[in-house]
Amino acid sequence: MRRPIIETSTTTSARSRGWPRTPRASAAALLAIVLAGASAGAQEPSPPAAAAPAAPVGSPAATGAGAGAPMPPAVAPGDDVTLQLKALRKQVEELQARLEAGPQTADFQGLVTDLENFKYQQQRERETKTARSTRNLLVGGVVQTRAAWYSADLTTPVPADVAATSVNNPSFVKGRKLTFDVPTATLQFSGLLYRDYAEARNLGFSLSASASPSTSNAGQSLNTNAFLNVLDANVSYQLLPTIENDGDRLWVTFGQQLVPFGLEANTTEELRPVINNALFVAASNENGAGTKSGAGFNVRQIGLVLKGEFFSQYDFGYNYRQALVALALAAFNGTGPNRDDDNAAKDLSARVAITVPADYHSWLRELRFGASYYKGRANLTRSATDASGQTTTAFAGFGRRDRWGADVYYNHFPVGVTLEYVRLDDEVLTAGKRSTVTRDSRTVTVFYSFGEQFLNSIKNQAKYDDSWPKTFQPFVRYDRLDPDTTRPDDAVEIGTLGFNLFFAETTKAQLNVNRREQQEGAGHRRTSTEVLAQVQFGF
Amino acid sequence: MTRHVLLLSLALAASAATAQEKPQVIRVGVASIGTGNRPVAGGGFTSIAADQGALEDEFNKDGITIKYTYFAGAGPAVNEALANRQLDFAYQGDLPAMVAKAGGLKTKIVLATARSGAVHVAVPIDSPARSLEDLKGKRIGVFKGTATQLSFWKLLASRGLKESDFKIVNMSTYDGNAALLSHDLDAQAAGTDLYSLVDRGVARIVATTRGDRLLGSVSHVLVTEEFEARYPHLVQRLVNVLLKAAAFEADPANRNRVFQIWSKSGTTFNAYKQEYEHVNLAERHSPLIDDFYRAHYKRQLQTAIDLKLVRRSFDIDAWLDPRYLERGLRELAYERVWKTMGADGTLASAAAVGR
Repeated sequence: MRRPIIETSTTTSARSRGWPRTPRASAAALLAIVLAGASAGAQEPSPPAAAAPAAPVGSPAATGAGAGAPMPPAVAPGDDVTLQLKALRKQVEELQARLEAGPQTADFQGLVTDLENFKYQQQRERETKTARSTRNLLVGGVVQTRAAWYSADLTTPVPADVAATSVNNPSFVKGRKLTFDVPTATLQFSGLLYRDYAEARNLGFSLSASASPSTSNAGQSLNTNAFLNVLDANVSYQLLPTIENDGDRLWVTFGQQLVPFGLEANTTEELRPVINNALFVAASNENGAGTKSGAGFNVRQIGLVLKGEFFSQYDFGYNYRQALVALALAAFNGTGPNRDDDNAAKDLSARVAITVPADYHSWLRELRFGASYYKGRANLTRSATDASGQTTTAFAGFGRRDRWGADVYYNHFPVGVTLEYVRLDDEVLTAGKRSTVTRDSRTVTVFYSFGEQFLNSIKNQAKYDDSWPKTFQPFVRYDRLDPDTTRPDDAVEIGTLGFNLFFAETTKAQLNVNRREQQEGAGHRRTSTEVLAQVQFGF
Repeated sequence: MTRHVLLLSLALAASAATAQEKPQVIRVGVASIGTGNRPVAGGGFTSIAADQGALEDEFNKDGITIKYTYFAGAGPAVNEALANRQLDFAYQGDLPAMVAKAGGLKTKIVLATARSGAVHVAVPIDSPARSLEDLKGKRIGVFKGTATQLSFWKLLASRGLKESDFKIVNMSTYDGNAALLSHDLDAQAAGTDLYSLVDRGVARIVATTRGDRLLGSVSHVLVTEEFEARYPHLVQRLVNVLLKAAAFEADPANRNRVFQIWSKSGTTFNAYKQEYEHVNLAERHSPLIDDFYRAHYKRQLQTAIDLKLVRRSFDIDAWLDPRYLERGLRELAYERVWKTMGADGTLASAAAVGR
């Protein structure tokens, strides 16, 4: 930078102004002139050359004194020019440094002010309007708003065949056919407690709570029975690296969580096409004498679950991952959510699912066969009279509580089919005598999607706005539960015709028409119809 | 009654025939996105056509809508959409298209869009690494399943290295760039986007395929066989529109304008300037399906099979369909705009695109 300034300016000035031609003296003088010009330029923009008044050589204006710049040393014939040149060079360097520093301190087109404003705004927004947490956190939730119509007038006492349907709330009703309902409002928190940047063996957590109306028909209170239940409350650790898509997976989850059994029980609200669960999911545990205790698969259990995916393949050509074998082993209290164990035994559960190895383009893609087993032990009780004559509940032994399941899952966009068979064995005590109540269930669901909602590629497309591909999903389902296989003609069958409209990223409108047939002895069937219209949204 | 049924049948048949002549929408998938998830891509003449709204101008007058989808999942995501019949055309690179074709996806390549596509390996500016060899045992981010992966694998092989010499992490380009800056990756293999980091003074290129035509990738415009069979005249019109955009890019007078258009993707003007320094855009982004293009696609396929990235071979010559290109060049009098290349990459003559 220095050389061009000196050479171009000095040459012109010296010749035009008749400066003494002595080589050393002329060089020093020329440098002085240049420095004066550079100094002035460093202080403030110079006027255009054509407009600048000419100043006599050696005048204050010409040397830069008038602009407040450092004065170059006077050049006198016979001085040591070398020393002067060194001094001048030093001054040139100082001026150069000032020139280079200039733009950094200037507010270039208001940029510095804008940045300061932005920093202030960000800090203020963060302090006053930003939710913060101590750890990595994702907040979400699911809410359902529903209108339900039932074909018969509902009047307390509600008939047994209607029990546990969505229209059985509150506990005392009179001649009701239509009701508005918020069946579920769930709040979810999840995040990472420890993030392994190298291999992604992360430690995560999940906490969720749901406010849902009770379907209990006990009592005559007008209380709505709406309360908040803790659903998930667990920590999960990845035992194998998950940094790559194509490796095997093994993770353990400790705390309150869903039981890894079958398809229906593990399908969350966001993914299930049908509004209501299959009947077996909500079927509670039998303990004889016409009463039921404990809980079905629709509630969480507290315990430890080990899940793994092995012989995994990842088709990078489609970003498609499939594991030949998926395993789940679990140990639970078996007493349901938010409750301690009530005996020495732990309920055990195992599930294995085999996915048919197939290319993404193959029609066999996403064809899976699963088998599940749950082995539980329940406390059997009987009524007894203590020494004071009071009636108490006495322990009468442990009862077997076993479940078997087999399922087929085929979800090959746009077609999806699920089939599930479940058998439930409960050892009960009736009139002091042990027996086993066996129930079985069959569920078939078929759906078809018009639209791109379920394609990862479409979901992850670039876009400016919040647009979302609309998807229309008609489906049919057949659901059957036989509450006691030893008794004929007591099964419940529900056929559902439904339609889902996905019109925003986490929102769907659902319409289900349920035709229910309750067998009540040989040749007698009681039929009813339920229509559910629901909007479900997540956030 | 019989007459009514017959008339109704004829009306339905006529309606179906009309529907077959003209779709309501032409769906175009792009295996790229812009910075900040914006639906804009840069780096090719297809981007110029998109910026100019050229396809819309061509087809909207017939009541046909053009629907672009820009996939964050790049080529593999395009494949998923193609396999599920959500696209008619796709702009993508070699590896994902070959994976899909080998897997049975029925497509045809009708236009080349690039050759010698460069892949670079960048490290954080404060990294001591100066070469690929210095990165042995380190974490390198690569967007697997994309054309970048194949070129990167070939770059390693050209240096006597292999994948297992490094810890390869599958990451999208934008995630990888962020991970590079946060030092969660020791290096990142990607394309032009890396020059944006270099420009900012936060990264440094330590290896590149630039200057070696045989290491670079090729890319294309493909159409589904179903669409091509039903609407060949629309395929021709689309090819012609893209050829006009390619000719615009090929004109040296438009070079700066081309970079300006591409920089709308968020990759900086200067990044493109560096990427294409001393590069003839007409050569790099030639639409010709010439000897080099055919030979290189065959080389790419063989390499992909050797590396077990593609499971089975298929006939490249049958996949490449230059008929629309040849006709377009004739109709637009573009025969002399681009020069053909020999199989080894040497420039031959003005367009002679047949086998």
